Amino acid sequence: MVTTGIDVGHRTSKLVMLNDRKIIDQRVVENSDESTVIAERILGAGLQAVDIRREDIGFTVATGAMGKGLKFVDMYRTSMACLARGVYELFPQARTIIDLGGETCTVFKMGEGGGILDMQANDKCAAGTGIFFEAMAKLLGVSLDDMGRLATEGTKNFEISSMCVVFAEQEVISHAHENPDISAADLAASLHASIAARVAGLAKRLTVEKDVVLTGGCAKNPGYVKYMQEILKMDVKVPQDPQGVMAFGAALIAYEKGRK
Amino acid sequence: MFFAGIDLGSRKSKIAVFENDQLLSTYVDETGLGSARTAEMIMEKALKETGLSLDDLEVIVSTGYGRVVVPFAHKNISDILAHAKGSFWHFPSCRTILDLGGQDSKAINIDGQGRLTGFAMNDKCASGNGRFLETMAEIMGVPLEKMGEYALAAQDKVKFSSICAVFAKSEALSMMIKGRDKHEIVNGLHEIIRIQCRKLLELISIEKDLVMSGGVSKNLGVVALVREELGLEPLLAEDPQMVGAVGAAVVAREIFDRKKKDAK
Repeated sequence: MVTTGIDVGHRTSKLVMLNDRKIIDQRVVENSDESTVIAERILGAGLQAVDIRREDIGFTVATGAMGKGLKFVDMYRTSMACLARGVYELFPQARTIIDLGGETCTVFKMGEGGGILDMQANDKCAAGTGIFFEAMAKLLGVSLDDMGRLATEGTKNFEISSMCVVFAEQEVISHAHENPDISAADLAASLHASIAARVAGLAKRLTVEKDVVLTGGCAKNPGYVKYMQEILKMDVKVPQDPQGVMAFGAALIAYEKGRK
Repeated sequence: MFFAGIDLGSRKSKIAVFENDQLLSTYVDETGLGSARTAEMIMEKALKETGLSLDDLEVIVSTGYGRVVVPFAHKNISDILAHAKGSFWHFPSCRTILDLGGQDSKAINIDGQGRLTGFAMNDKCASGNGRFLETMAEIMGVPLEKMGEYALAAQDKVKFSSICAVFAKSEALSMMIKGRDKHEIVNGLHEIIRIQCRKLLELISIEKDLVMSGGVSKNLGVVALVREELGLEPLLAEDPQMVGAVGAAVVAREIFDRKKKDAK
């Protein structure tokens, strides 16, 4: 049976299509329109890629911050439920999951059976979310990918004291003015260390237990991953496609629901 | 005798020149990047307008973000002291000050002699400050000085899901695209400022009279919401943005008086 998970996030939308639990298609698009249009579009692209019709899909689950209220899906499941399901499938040993998305940061503890035990979230303020990386890459004049790579090459040589994205931008500008010789790599390293400290701070409100899994679009950034390991003083696991874990979980839930 | 106070703020730089106890002249300009150069430039303007030379100024006191880089200042004082002194000079009945600046907001208590008795400050979060208003005015295509009028003219207000400056900006943009009335969006943004003012005012004691200072206090929409929130009439200097510089000049005069007394 073909099942689909669609995760409409704040900044991007993700689709995972399974055939009997095996991934047959996965994709990401930038959100450039309202939720229904984006979801229709990403589903259409998936159907075309695997060359099937919409009627061939057994069950579809939508999730994500903007995924509520989609008419054509069979069911909506919360972000947390789908993320936990996806992580549990990939890393059954996971106990602490840190999800850093475009506009939210969520940390939760997972039990042996994959249940959610406790959680902490920031969705009130842009400090310590993916939008911070976007703003900083723009400021440095590099792509997001390049900035993450630069961060692993540079050395951290200052801390950003204000985590408010608006103020942090100015702090970086004044650092660059005061030290005209500072390399983009060192700036990037310092930025990434600062945001990792902020995210780790949220995680430490719960006890951070192994295995730690990083998910969300930001976990594609090697600079962020490096500094998270440094600050948490432990190795972390990163799924092959950290951005698609929630949609993957949604597709698994769709499979389990559709089979009944 | 002439004195000057210079307030190098995060967004605007201000200078106030006093002749004895009287405010003689003021000047304001963008702070830009080079604070020391900005200080020199606004000083030049003020001197030109008053026909004075730098030597005519007995004491110069600086305040604001850039207070330590003002080359000709004899002393620098905190923004909090400057706003306390400035507000008390304008209104001796002042006991509470709400200073809404470009990048930070403060609530201050003073006693009957104008001495500081308490304060609270937000400089951690950009929500609701002057820069926030500037950014929003820009994306909405509304002149900054008209933002208050837009809010006051609104029939209704949109509800923002977050007070964060970054999130509110994208929310405001998407509301514009959806065709929501600009007045209602601007009014919704003023609600964010209300929340931030409320948080700050809860940390001090509200005593009459309340003086509003700082550039954001030039916005009548913000003044109206403070009036509504507290149920009292805020007092406003002719130029609320100049209160910090006036306070610095008042301190300059006090320093001069003290020196004169010591010399006797």
